[in-house]
Amino acid sequence: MTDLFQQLPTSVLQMGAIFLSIMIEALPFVLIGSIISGFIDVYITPDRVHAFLPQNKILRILFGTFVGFIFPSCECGIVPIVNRFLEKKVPTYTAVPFLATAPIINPIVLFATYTAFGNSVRFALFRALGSILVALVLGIFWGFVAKAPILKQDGAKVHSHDFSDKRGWTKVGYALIQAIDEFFDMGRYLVFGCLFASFVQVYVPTYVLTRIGHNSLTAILLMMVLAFLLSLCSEADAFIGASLLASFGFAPVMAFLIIGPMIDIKNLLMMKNHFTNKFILQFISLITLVILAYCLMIGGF
Amino acid sequence: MLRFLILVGYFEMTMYLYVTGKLDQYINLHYSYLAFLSMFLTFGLAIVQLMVWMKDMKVHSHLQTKAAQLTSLALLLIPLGVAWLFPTVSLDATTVAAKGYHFPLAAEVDDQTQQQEGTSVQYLKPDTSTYFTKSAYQEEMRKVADQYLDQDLIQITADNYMAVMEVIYDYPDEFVGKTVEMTGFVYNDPDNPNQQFLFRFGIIHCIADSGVYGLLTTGQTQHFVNDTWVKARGTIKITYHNSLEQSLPSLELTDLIQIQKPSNPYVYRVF
Repeated sequence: MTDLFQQLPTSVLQMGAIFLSIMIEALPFVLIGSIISGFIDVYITPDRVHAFLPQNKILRILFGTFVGFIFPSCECGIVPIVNRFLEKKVPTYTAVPFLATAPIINPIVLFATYTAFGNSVRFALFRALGSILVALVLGIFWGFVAKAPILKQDGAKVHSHDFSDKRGWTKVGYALIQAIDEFFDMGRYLVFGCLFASFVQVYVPTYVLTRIGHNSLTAILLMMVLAFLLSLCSEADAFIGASLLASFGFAPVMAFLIIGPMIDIKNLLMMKNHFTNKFILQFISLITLVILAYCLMIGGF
Repeated sequence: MLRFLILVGYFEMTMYLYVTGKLDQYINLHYSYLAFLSMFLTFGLAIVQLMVWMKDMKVHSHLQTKAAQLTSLALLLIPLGVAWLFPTVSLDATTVAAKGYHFPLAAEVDDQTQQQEGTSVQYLKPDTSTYFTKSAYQEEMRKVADQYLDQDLIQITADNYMAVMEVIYDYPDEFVGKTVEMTGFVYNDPDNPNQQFLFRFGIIHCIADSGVYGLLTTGQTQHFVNDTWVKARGTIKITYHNSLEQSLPSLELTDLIQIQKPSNPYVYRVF
């Protein structure tokens, strides 16, 4: 059987190897994400959420923006968690900023950024500031402008199953059962996203992108596309960003670092499973615009 | 039942990769805790799923249509198939071209920084002159550089590969004239038949973020095809590379012998 696969072209085998390596990296985070999501499903009720959240809309936006700081997560695991929060009636304008900042402002990623750029606080700081700015714009947009629900109404409809009669270990068991279901649901998109990302890595030469002549505007856009296509883990992308610093400069690398964890191939596919197309479109456009403006501004210094 | 088998499959896949030592072909072993985490979590979930199966519980699933259930199982089987059926391959010169073999564009950079430019796209080389006037990075690199500058013969091994490459590109002038011994695979310069590169793939996190790291070599008498593994000895000098329009530290070869591909072709970033 292995002989049969030995016949495959080397590039296909290498794609397989890259695919597997991304899977190995992402798997634990998706598992953790699914498990957290399972526990949220079973333990948190909409009433509890509302008792916990601040009453004021602005405060709720701020809450969503900064809660990621104490909530260790990675962009692979964040979508199922956010989806579950929305099902539990967490307002959109709290959940969306959380979706945007959580993979960036958590301590692990900030520390990786700090290390990657030669122990410089500057990059970690600007990265965090940029993501917070994006989150605030997203929060204000969904808090005051857009009112339509962002979860798909069909298929993955809002579940109202009630676990409040379960107690103790049975309840934990149910949380894990929901986690398994979540894993099999998310896993599809993870696998597909990883396949696509590894395909890009083997067959799309990066110099095609990097050799396009650049002024600061095109360079920033280029780096955003690159971040999207590479779909790197937000723990590792700072190291790649650092290596691109010499060829692109500060502002474009910052764009790469901010947009990467928010939108990439694998989490776009996961989002598509839960959220409406309209939301995804607005989400991507707003993020792109804000990051573009932010990076042009900091590039001006 | 299939879900149980797939979860057990993931558990066994990770364990298999770890036990056979194949894990280092995919990720930097610095991150092997990720694999342990996966093992632990998939094992736990497999047990839960086993209980669901045995008790024949009705589970409320998100995957309501047959199609969704089928694609879920089929897609999740792919990684298992790749892990077991695909022969383990490593990245080589064919990947260099696609995976980002390019040199930093030197158009807007002054001579001083040009000399510091790295050879490869994924080479950790912050532009210190602009961003880090007196940072800890420089001190650190200085220390490493001094340590190697004291040696008569600088031996580049799999363990110090990334560190030595970094300081050579950071302080090319100081390394000029030093004798260096290194191992790598041949990548013939597409623009100049008299030059070749010696590269190794360096892994930061996993092979998806790996890049090629190495030196330009000149003065060889034999021609090797791409991907030939060689052990080279030579002295460092600065060569101006025409098509890249920049000066690069390079290796003026004195000895070049073909060797067997090392059992582990990758080098890792040490933290």
